[in-house]
Amino acid sequence: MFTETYQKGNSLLHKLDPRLKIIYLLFFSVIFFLPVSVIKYYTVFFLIFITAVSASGLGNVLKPVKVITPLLILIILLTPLFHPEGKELLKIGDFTLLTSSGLSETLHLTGRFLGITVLFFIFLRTTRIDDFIRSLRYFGLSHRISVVITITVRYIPYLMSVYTNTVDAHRMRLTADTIIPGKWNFTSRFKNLLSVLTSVMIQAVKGIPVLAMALETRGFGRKNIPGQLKKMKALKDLSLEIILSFSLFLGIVYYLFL
Amino acid sequence: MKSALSVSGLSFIYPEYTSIKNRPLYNNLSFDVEEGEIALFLAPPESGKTTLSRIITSLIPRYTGGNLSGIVTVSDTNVQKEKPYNINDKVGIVFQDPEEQILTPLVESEIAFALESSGFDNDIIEKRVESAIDFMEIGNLREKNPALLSGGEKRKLLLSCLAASDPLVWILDETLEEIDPEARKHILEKLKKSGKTVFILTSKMLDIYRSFCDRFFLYTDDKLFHETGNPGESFMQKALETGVFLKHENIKFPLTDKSSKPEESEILLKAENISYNYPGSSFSLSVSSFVLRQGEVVALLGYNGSGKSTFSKILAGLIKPDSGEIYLSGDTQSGNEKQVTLNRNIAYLFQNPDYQLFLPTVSDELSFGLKGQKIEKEIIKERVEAASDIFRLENPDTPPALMSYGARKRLQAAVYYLLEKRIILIDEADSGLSFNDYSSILEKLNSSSTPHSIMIITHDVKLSAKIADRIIIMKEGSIVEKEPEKEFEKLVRLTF
Repeated sequence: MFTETYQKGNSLLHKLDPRLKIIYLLFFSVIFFLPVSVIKYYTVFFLIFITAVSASGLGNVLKPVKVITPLLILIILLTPLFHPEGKELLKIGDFTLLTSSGLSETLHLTGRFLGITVLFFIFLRTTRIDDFIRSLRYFGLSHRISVVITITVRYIPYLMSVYTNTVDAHRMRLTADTIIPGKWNFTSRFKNLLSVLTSVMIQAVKGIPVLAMALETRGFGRKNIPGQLKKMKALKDLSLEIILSFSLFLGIVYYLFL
Repeated sequence: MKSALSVSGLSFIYPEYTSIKNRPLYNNLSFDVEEGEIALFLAPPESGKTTLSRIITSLIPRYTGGNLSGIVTVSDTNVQKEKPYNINDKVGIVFQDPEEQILTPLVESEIAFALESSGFDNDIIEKRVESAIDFMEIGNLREKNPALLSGGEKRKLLLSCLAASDPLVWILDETLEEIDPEARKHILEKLKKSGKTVFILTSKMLDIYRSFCDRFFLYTDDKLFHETGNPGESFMQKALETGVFLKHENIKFPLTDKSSKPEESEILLKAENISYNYPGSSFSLSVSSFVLRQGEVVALLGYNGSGKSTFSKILAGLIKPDSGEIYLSGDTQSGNEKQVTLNRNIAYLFQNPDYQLFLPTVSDELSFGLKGQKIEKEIIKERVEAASDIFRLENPDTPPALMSYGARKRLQAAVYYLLEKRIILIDEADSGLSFNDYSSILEKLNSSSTPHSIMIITHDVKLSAKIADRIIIMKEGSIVEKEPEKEFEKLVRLTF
C-alpha cells in the first residue's frame, strides 16, 4: 500500500535545508523550459539524475520514469510529425518522418518530462512533508492553506487505502462457487472497477463532515495567530549552504548561456 | 467537589431520513461528573453513546441537525452555545474510529496540531508534545506516518493529542477496548494519577474499570443507573442482564475446562515459515507454524502492533507473504491461484466494518456474493430475508452508512454468514459491541451447516476464555511458542 512519498535517508539532499530545496526545485524547473541546446539540456538532466540516484538509489529513481514511459513513447512517435521544417533525416517514399527540427523538439520534450519528473520525485523522496509545509509557511503561506495541503497529503494515500480495502472486500466476497469473469471480459472488469470507485467516492463524501468535526475539535477555526511546532533555522546558520547554492546556480547559468 | 461535566434534561432526535426509523434518544437524561473523576458510561450498542459524546463536544446537532433539548455544561460553559474549536481547551474527544480523526502524515505533527491551532508559542508546543509522547510512551512512533500504525497505536496517538492540548474533560468513545491490556492498565493508571476528569463511553464493562473508575453509569432502555465507588451487586447484575458485562471466573491456560477438539480432526488451514516485512516499515512478521482444525474456535491475543491483523490478512490471501507456505485442506494451487483460493475459502471480517460495506442498501450487500454464484433470484431473496431476520437487520432498503456501528457489524457478519465459507477470521469485531451482541454474532456464524473453523482476534482475555477452544498469543511479529502460559497469565493479571 502506498502511504507516503518520503524515504528516510542520510544523503546530502536529505540534509539540505527544505527552503533551499524549494528554490532549487523552482530553478531547475525553469531551466527545463529555457531555449538552450540539447546537449546542455541533457547535461543538466544528467546532473539531477546522478544526484537523485545518490540520494535514493537507481531502482527508486527509475520507478517514476517507468510510469511516464507511455507518455515518452507517444512524444517520440508524434512530435516529429508536427515539425516538418529543417533538414530531412528520415523519409519513407514522399513522406518525411524525421527532420533535424523534429529531432531537436522531440529530445527537448522528452528531456523536459524526464527532468521535471525526476526533479519532483527526488524532492518529495528526500523532504518530509511537514518540513515542506513549514518552509512554505516561512515563505508566507497562510496556516489555513498549509492545513489544506497537509490534509490533501494525508488523504490521497488514505483514499488509496480505501480503494485497496474495497478491492480486498470484493475479493472476500468470492466463494468456492463464484464464477470469476475471464481476464479479457472488459465489460465485467469495467463494472467491477466502477463499483469499487463508487464505494471509494461514497467513503470520501461520507468522510467530509467527520473530517470537519475532527478539525474543529482540534481547534481549527480559532481566530488567534497560529503557532508552529518547529521553527526553521536562522538564515545566518545556513550561510555555507547558501554560498554553495548560489555558486552552483551561477555555474549552471554560466554553462547554459555563455 | 465542583462539577466538571453536567448533563441536564437531555433529549435528542436526529432528522428524519427515508427508510430509517428514528427514535428519540435519552428521554430527559441527567447526570454529573465531578472534577478529577474517571466516569464510565456503560450502554449497549445503538443506545446513542457516540451521539452523546458528540453532543458534549458541541459537534451534534451542529453537524447533523436534529432536535436537542436540555443543557450540557463543561466547567460552567454551556457547550451548545459555543463552537467546538473555541472549547477545545475545556473538552477534548477521541472518536470511536481513530481513522476519522487523524489529520497529518506525521505522529509528531499530529500531536502538535491542536496546539498550533490554539496559537501557543513554539517552545510551549515543543514541551507539550514531548510530555504527551512521554505520557503515552510512544517515543518509538514519533517519526512514523500515522497511516502505518495499528488500530491500538492510532488510539494511543489520539490520547497523546489530548494529553498535549490538556482539556479539562476528556471524552473517550470506545477508546480503550482495542488497546492491549498492558497499555490499557498503564493509561488508566496515568489518567488516575494526573487527576484528569475522564468520561469513558463503552459497551463493555471490563474488570479493570472497577479499579480505576470513580463513577459508573449504566444506560439501558432509556433508564440511567448510577453508582459511585465500586459498583454493587445489583448494578453488576443489571450490567450482566444488559449484556455489557461478562461473568467468567477461573481462567486457565490451556483452557482445560473446554471440551478440547480431538487431535485427529481435519486440519483446514496450515501455515509454515511465514515471513513478511511491511514496505517502508521496520515491522517484520515471522510465524514458523500455525494450524487451524475443523470445528475449533481459536482466539488470537496479543499486544498492539504485534502483527495479528497482518497475519490474518496473510491467511486470508489478502497479503502475499515474502516467504512461507499456506496449505488449505484439499487444495493444491500455488502462486496467484493460491491467493484466489484462499480468498474463496476464507472469510475475513475486517476490524472496521465500513471497509467491507460498499453497496447502497442492506439487501444489495447481502445479495452481492450470492449473485456471483449465479443462484436463482427467488432463492437469493429467501436467503437474504432469512439472514436479515437472524442478524436483526430490520429494513432491507436502509443504506448501511446511516446505520449504527453495531448494526453495521451485524450486517458485515450476515454477509459472511450467507457466503458459507470454511474458515472465518474475525478481527477485533468485539470492539463497539456488547458481550451479548458479540457472542450472538459468533454463535450465528458458528451455526453454519458448512464444516468450518473460526479464529477471533481480540484483546479480551475473559471473552477468549469463554468462547475459544484454544488460545494463541502474538508478540513482536511472532507466535509465542516458549511458555505461552506465562504470557497468558500476564494478560490475565492485567485484565483484573
